[in-house]
Amino acid sequence: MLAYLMHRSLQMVATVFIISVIAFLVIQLPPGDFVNSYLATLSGGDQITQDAVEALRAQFGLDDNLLVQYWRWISNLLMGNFGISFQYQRTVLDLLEERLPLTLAITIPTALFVYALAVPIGIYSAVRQYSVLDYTFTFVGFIGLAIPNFLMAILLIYVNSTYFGGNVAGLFSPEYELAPWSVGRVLDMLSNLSLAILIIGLGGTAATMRVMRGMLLDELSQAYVETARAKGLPEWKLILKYPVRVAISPVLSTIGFTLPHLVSGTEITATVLNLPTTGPLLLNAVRSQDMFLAASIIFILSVLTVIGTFLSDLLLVWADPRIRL
Amino acid sequence: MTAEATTSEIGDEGAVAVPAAVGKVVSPARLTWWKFRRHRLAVASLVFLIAAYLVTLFASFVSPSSPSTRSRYLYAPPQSVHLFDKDGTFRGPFVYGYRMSRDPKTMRLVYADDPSRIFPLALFVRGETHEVLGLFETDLHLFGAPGGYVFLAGTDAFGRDMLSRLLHGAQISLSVGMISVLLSLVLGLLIGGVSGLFGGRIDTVIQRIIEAIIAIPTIPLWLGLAAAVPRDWPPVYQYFAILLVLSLVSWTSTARVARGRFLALREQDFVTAARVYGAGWFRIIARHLVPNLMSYVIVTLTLAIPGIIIGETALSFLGVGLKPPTVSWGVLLQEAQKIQTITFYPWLWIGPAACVVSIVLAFNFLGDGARDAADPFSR
Amino acid sequence: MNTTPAEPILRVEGLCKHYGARRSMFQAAAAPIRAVDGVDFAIQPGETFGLVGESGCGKTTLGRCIARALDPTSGRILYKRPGGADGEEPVDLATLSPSGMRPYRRDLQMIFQDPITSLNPRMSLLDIIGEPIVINGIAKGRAVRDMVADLLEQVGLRADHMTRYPHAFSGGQRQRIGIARALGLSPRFIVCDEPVSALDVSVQAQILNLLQDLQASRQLTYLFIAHDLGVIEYICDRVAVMYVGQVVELASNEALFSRPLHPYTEALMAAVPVPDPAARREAAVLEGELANAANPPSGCTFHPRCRYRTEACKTTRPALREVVPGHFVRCHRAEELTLAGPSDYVAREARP
Repeated sequence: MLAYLMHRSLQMVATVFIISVIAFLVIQLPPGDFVNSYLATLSGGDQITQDAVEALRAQFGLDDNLLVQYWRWISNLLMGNFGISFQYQRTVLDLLEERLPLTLAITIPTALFVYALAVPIGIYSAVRQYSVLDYTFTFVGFIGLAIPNFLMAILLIYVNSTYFGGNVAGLFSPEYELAPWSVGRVLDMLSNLSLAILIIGLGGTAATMRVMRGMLLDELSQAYVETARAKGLPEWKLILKYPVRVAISPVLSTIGFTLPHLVSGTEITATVLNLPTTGPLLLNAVRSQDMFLAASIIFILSVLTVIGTFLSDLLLVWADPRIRL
Repeated sequence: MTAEATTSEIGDEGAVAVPAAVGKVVSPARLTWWKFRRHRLAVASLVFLIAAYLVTLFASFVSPSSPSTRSRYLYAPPQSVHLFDKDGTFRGPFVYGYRMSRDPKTMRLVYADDPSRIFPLALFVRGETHEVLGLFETDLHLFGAPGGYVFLAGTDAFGRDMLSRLLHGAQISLSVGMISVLLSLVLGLLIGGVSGLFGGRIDTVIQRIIEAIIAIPTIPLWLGLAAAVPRDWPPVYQYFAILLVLSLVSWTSTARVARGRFLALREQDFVTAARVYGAGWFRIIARHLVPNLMSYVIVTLTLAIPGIIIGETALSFLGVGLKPPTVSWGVLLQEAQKIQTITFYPWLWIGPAACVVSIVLAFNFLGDGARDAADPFSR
Repeated sequence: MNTTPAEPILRVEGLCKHYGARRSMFQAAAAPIRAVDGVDFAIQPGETFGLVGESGCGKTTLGRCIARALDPTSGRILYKRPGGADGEEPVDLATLSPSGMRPYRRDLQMIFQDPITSLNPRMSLLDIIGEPIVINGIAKGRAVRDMVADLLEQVGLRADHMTRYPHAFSGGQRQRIGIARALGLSPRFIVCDEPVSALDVSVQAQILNLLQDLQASRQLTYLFIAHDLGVIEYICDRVAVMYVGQVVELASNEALFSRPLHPYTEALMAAVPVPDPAARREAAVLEGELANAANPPSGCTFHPRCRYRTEACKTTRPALREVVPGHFVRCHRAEELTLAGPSDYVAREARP
């Protein structure tokens, strides 16, 4: 277990390193440097002298070579100094602290929702293969996979406003928008969040359900299931006791693929629904080429994803002693 | 559907001399096709996709007008095609003209059918001149309403025909999927092949990089990369830049599959046999490895296209992908950023949304069927 | 080492194939796996030389090194083309570069165990059998077809099958296709890597007979790898027994089967089932498992499983010695032990 932990942690460090390089590339890619973009955002009337521009460049160290710049960026990052968003004129860390909790508050429940829903449905679909419900789930699953999150969000906004006259965008309904905290306001927020979770979770559920169904179908055709049946175990008990336990580990280990999708979905859905997560912030940053902010968000989201995958892997290893490398 | 890489390299001139085989010769490609054919939904999807791509190819002919032609009917809802007029007389296919008025409270334009104006629809009508496949110019259109107007999918804020815009948008959206996937194919085969064939340290490094890319949430990464595309670039450059951005993520799945297959095939005895009879590495890769992994790669690619189409749509929708005057489904969906548009002019987003969803759905079914058929020798 | 006067077609000297142990960041570099660990023997032209042992003993690796499907770690593989000039020096195949190996590829071919994976499923028989002919420049175009047709008939298939694909054939037929592919280059020496192990017993005999017929008509020399002693006894002239990467016994077919000198050979022979329910024999069964080639036991590698072991066996590694002329064995106690061969069982049971 310790060796596995060591191995996995080092692997994670390597992954995080590569992610940091990619995030740094995102900063470097836009043509010109961000002093140019910064100047572009300043009011056009001011004449900025060449000296001032050079001073700005020197201040941000843009004249050093790439390696030095990367080193400065990453070492600052590791110290918790994420740089400054010139668009908001605030530290990136400040902005992240404000926005990140909501991203997590949507993504984590969505992940739980996806597995809580997909696993039972997958089991049912496998056990009752080719039943009416199996076909229904499969059909709904395919549709769910085909509708991108943001279209689903648009659809829900439309349905809600046309048929229920409500407005689902934003974290709060208009009447609670400026109201002080109260039970009603919390419930209102939760109802709006649950809509987001539903939208994001649909695609993930559809995919995971298919995996669970396939895995369990493979297991159900194994001889040991036949043996257990011959022993006279009740069918449901038998299925839950043996094949499901075998099939569920690889399904849960798909979290490494699911989590990035969910984070991705959270960000774009939040943008459509106008929820104050890091999503709209990132979009703004990207639009105004506020690259330090953009790269920090990408980096933080990816690292959190990696950590999430790591934690769930550890849980899985702890629960299932077969998986050990 | 299948990688038909099984053509003989040995003297065609002898083909006639082969004695007629007693039984029918079944090639692996044919076996794959038979297996694929059993998946009805996949076959239907294939037909649908071929039709969609054909229509897209001739979009300027199929659409009644150019995507940028404006009319005085702003935000007009889709007209419906009628066969009988209000009196029940058969008139052939026709549409009613609009009766425009303004809602006194909201000041929005309101449209209703004008029963006094009937525009019969006709096939092969003359209209605006357009270029077909960049080869020749013509003013012939598949259909139209001579002497009137026809907006089967409604119009947008500038009175432009949504149907024409959807069809032209398909050219961009569908080609992004295809070209981007070809790029991923080349990248994935190359990198996955290097990883699988050489192994060792190179393999480890490549695998780590792939894992890292997979761990990064796609949309944020795409957003970050798309930000690098200069805004003042001409549309064609932007198109290829976005294409590149989308491919940068999707090659990883191809590379994984290619690597796995290379690793598995490398150990097969027919590869050893080829080495023993003196086949060079290039020949072994080209004639023995690649034909045997192509079907798997094609499946991965088929399943990757929907992701890329959705990616382009999402980026353009968010305003960081393609931008007007380029027309793509994502660009059309930008309209749906405004709540008013979503609720009051639903045809502006339902059209492109339905296009995206149906194409993605078809590719998913196709990929599903292709996956089952990929290995014609199993069961 | 070999005392027969005729010049061998192939002489293997101290051949080793070690697989580098996988080095990970957290484990100290493990010892390499010694799949083949210092093998010497010589094969005469026209003979069938058997190589027998449990799975994992290194016999397949050895065969692949000789055909240069694998690059040996060290040692020499001296090949002398039969009918060459008298003073011609044998060539060391082990050190030849891929391009230097090219002219000898035609002489050395291989037949594989698995009839499924040994044929490319996406090539027709014409391409499978024709490719070696084309790339070695033996024939072109139309002539390749004629050659393939001829080869198919030689291995007992029909010429008009050449447009078909491997999936249309049974295991035995596919093995014939593999043989035709090897024959296309008119080789002198064929490494047969368990060519009948994956086949039904009835088909095994057909393939073995085909191999024997081809050997007679084409003056072939075989290195015949198998784990089935019955097959070995049927087809081989001389036999080497391998254990954990080394030859432990080497003798003519008759000598080996009538009087094995190594306890491992005895145990292998005792494990062959006798189709007689009344037969009872002393158990010389093998205990334990094949030793780990990465960490072979001290002394004689067979000692942990040997029922005749002494203290000396645990410490000193025995050398391969010629105990009887032409009969080599790697055992300290070869002279003192009297081991049972299969004939003993039959003889003993014949007595009431």
